[in-house]
Amino acid sequence: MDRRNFLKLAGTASAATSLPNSIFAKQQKLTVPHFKPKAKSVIYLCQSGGPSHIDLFDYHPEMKKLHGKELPDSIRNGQRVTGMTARQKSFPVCAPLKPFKQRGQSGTWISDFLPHTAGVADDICVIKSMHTEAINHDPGITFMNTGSQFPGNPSMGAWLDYGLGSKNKNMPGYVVLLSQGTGKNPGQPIFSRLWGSGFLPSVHQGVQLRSHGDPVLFLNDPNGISRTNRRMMLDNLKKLNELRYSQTGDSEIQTRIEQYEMAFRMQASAPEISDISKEPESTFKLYGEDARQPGTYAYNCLLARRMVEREVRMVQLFHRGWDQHNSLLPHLTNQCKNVDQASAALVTDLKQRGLLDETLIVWGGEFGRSVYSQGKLGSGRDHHGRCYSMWLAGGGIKAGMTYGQTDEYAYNIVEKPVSISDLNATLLHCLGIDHERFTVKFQGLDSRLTGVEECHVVKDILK
Amino acid sequence: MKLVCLLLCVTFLSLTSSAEVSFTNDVRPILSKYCFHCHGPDAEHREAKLRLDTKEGLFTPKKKRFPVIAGKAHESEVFKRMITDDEDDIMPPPESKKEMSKEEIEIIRQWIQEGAPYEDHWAFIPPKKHNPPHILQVNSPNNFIDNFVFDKLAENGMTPSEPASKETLIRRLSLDLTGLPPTLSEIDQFIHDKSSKAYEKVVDRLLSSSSHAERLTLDWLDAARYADTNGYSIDDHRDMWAWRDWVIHAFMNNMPYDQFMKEQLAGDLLADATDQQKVATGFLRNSMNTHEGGTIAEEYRVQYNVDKVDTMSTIFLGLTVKCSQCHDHKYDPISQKNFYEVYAFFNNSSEGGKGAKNGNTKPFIEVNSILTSKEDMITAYKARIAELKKKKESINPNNIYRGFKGSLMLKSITEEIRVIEEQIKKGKTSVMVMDEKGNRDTFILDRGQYNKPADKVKAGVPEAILPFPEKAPKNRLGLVQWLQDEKHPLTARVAVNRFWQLIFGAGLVRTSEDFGNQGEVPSHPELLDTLAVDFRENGWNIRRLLKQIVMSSTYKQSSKVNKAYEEKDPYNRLLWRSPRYRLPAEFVRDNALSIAGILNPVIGGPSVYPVQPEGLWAQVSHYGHPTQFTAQSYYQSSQNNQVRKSIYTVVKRTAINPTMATFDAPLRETCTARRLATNTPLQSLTLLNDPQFVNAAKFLGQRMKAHSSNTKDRLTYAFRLATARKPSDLELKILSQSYEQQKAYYSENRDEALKLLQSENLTAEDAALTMLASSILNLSETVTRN
Repeated sequence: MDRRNFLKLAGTASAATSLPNSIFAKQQKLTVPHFKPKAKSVIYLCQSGGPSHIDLFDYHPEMKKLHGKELPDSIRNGQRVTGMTARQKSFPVCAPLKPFKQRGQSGTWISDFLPHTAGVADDICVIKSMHTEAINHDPGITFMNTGSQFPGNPSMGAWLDYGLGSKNKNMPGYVVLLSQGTGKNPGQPIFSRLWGSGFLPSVHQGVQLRSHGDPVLFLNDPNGISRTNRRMMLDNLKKLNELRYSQTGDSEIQTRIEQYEMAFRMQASAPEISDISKEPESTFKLYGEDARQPGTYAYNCLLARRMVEREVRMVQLFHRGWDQHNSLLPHLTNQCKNVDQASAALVTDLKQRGLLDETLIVWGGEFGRSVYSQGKLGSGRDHHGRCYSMWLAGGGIKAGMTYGQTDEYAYNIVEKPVSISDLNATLLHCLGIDHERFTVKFQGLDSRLTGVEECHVVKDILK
Repeated sequence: MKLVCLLLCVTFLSLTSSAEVSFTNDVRPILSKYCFHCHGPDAEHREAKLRLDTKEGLFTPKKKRFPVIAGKAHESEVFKRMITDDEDDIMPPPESKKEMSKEEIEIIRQWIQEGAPYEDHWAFIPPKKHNPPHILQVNSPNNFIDNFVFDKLAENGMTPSEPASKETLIRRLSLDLTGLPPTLSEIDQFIHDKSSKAYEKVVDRLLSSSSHAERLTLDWLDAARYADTNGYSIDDHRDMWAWRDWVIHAFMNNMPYDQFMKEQLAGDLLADATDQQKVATGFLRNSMNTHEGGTIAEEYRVQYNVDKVDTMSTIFLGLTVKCSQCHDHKYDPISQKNFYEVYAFFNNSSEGGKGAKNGNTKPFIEVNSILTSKEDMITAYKARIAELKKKKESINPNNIYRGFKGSLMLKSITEEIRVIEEQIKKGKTSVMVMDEKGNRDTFILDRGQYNKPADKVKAGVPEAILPFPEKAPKNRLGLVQWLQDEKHPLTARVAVNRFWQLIFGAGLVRTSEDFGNQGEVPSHPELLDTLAVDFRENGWNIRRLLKQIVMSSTYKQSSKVNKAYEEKDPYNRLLWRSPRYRLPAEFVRDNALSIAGILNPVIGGPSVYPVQPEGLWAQVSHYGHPTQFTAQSYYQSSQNNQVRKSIYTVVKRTAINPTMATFDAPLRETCTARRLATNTPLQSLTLLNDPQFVNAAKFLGQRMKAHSSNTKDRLTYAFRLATARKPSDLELKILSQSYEQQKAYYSENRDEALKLLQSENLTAEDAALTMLASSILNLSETVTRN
């Protein structure tokens, strides 16, 4: 079943087994978006490994004085820590490694690690009160992307492609780009399930746009088959398939004929997206020289812009290497260098093009990092899920804003907590979707991206 | 009544000519969807102490108000609440974001007016045999299946389709029963065999073939979430292939389904359990596991057990119980306590929460495969080592390959080799198995959290479905006895439904994983029940069941679409024709290899590494980490092992084979009872350009060339290999024209031909044959079961 037919048959929200339960049951019609969306596309900049909120966004001037002192039990409050530091005897506080300043009109606190991001402070909304139940990478990043710590659920991109489809019919609706940071190499592993379709049809899974080999797997015709010849072959194939349709009346054959046509068009449109040769010099000035190099984060940011220009529904970058258990200063410096300029450039670029209002940008990882040192003072930081920072921009989000508050150890949230499901509900809201009504019946349950626990759209950060 | 019909027709067609609503088919699903969430089995969250999932709850007055009064809709609270204008009273409440349609409310009204007949949930009533209805002989029924199917068709004013042609039938049988197309001699033999037993002979031949066992194994691997890696985080390799061999062997020997079930759930507990009976319990150990650095072991030990309960329930009970990990089931009579009682059966194993690195996690046994001899295993392993060593030779430690240091790559391959060499040294492989060590206390876990134990529970089952047999031991063997009890309402139904699904693409109950209140009702309840009882009474004989199904006239119908019938029954639930569906991923590939004549038919043994694009594993994995983990980078197999059947392709859970994933193969992270089938442009690209399919086209081209010197013969030959039928004149004309075009093109563009074929000895003719072979492999018909 192709996407269109699937939607036609399965409707959206109440999927394959909707009511009434007579064996002939037809399906309900597509009902998303539920209301007028602010954002049309999403660019999700997933920072895999757990960027340090302490060193980047969550500033507490008083922390300097606490540097080297033991983290009080009253703050740790019996929290479970990972197996890596559970046996550590001492938990000395490590203040941010670099100075913070207030930036722009908004006065958003951003560290010197991120000078370019600091430059767009007035365009972004920093959430300092994110929290997650997960304390390790696999469950953490799975939770972040699928709404559940354990495998089996569709990723957010798959949900969006399922519900909203994509305007660009020559590209997949959900495209994934991977890069490896220079901070910690190799970074923590990532998994197909992070962009998988879970219990939704596989047509909605993220399609990786690759920097080596075929941009999309099996996109290029083999050597010795020219475009003319491929066209010739497909024309004859079409004739044969049409004949078969007339013999059998099977509408799947017609769908398949359309899929071959779309594949042929995709063969032209996907390389066109990766072809940055016509980008002006100013682009590389904005995104940085790295953007010339396929496979880098900066290059992927540039491709992301090129894709939302072409109305791809969701582009997701996965940048690995944020797991600074040790070598905190040099590794974090490198990670920030990888992503800072290009992330900010994306905001600026989309703004200049008038696309920021309709593009929702999300920047963040699966959790933050501990205020206490792992190993020697200042050497590294362990995972920390009780609070961490992310930023959003564009697509219906208030600009120049900081949301949520943590205690002076950046350890516990004191104000306005935002769970992953709250965040996802908010992102869906920007896309015109009521997360509670966006459900699919799977294994007898009305499953949704935001899970079964109560959660809310964070209205305060909406425009 | 006219109005009602009109209303009903808006969303669905009424099943029979009478518009009377059925509680099971029409009413309960509505109550389940809108009411059970707050007025169902979940006692803790039940609102107003009212439950609508039981007869008592529906008809007993509460505070002088009747939820339902037969014949009096407007005095029935349930109905009144659905139609009220009062926002405080309306049900379901607005905050649930569920809104009933007019048609649904009308169904409730009509049901109450018609006397509100109540039926218990069909799937919890033990099945009984039904007498096959009498039907007209004109449709040539062959066995009782046809009586049930044709009777229902007649009831709906339909007649069965004509029988399919012999070519179609033998291809259908071959694909359904073996996942492979028939050979030309098999086709010819069948066509020329005019005896009345011709069809049955083919069926018997296929059912007793080893390919049939492999075909059944595929679905079982999905159900059992089989994989060659650990799944979480670093996702390094594990050895479970000897368990896969056990499954193939069991199917080859037509092991009765009850024994198949018993050995996999409790083989280790049988008196004098053999090694192979212990291997069978690898079924339960296929759960993912982790050794990620910060893991809290108990959290994951709990998770592995939850996964076992989930898999057992989905596959054997057809119930989805996962939600009762945290709270009472919202729809089915399974309490949170029930969940942990079942969990307790799996809780005595010595399996820990933290997985081992680069191999199997205890408990495991070192053993030889029941299917692959020790010598064959060693040969296979040595071949693998040779492949790896060859790869090693090609790497310069000082070079950088796509961002990876040569020296690190060499270390990684060395580790892969070391792990295999260990097994060669021992002369045995290993399989993770179940054991029963002591008696660990089991507690209900508050909200499912590993560190929040509440009340202590003992091993047990959801008694609402069937009480635990009195004399059965309270261990996994007892659980099996309960499942196989002749009064058990689910086990046999669920099993026959899945075998039906395997043949017809969809079960009689389409939600084969969910027979509960939220699942679909069966299209042919009496047939399902009769098949279920018949299956159990005849020794749970799988081959006999499959033979019954494929011998039926229902099965033998043509798949041609009748537009008028399609309008009425778009999903062909009534089986007025044979289904048409795209082959499962594995058979799309196996089929192409087989048509090209290059499929390597070796059965069993360790997994293999066919051609896949470079870098797919390394780019997501821990490749290059100083601790060398296995299965982080993909090292391709050599020639022969590149063309094994797809069930032997290595399954790495976090980087699933792209060809398989594109055609809807699941990630094998959790139990999958059925796949969804999609039709996408990426599938087209794969069939056109995946080097495996390009390679198959080249071989098929050469096969055509060797077959004959006549172009039309060559084209007919390939077409028949792919579709089992001869092309029509028109089809042959298009193929021939296409061939001439290609030949002319490559004659003019010799360099293109050279690039395509990568051989100086081959000509424009070979290039054109390759292109035609590729066209034939890309035909919709080639990848479709019809």
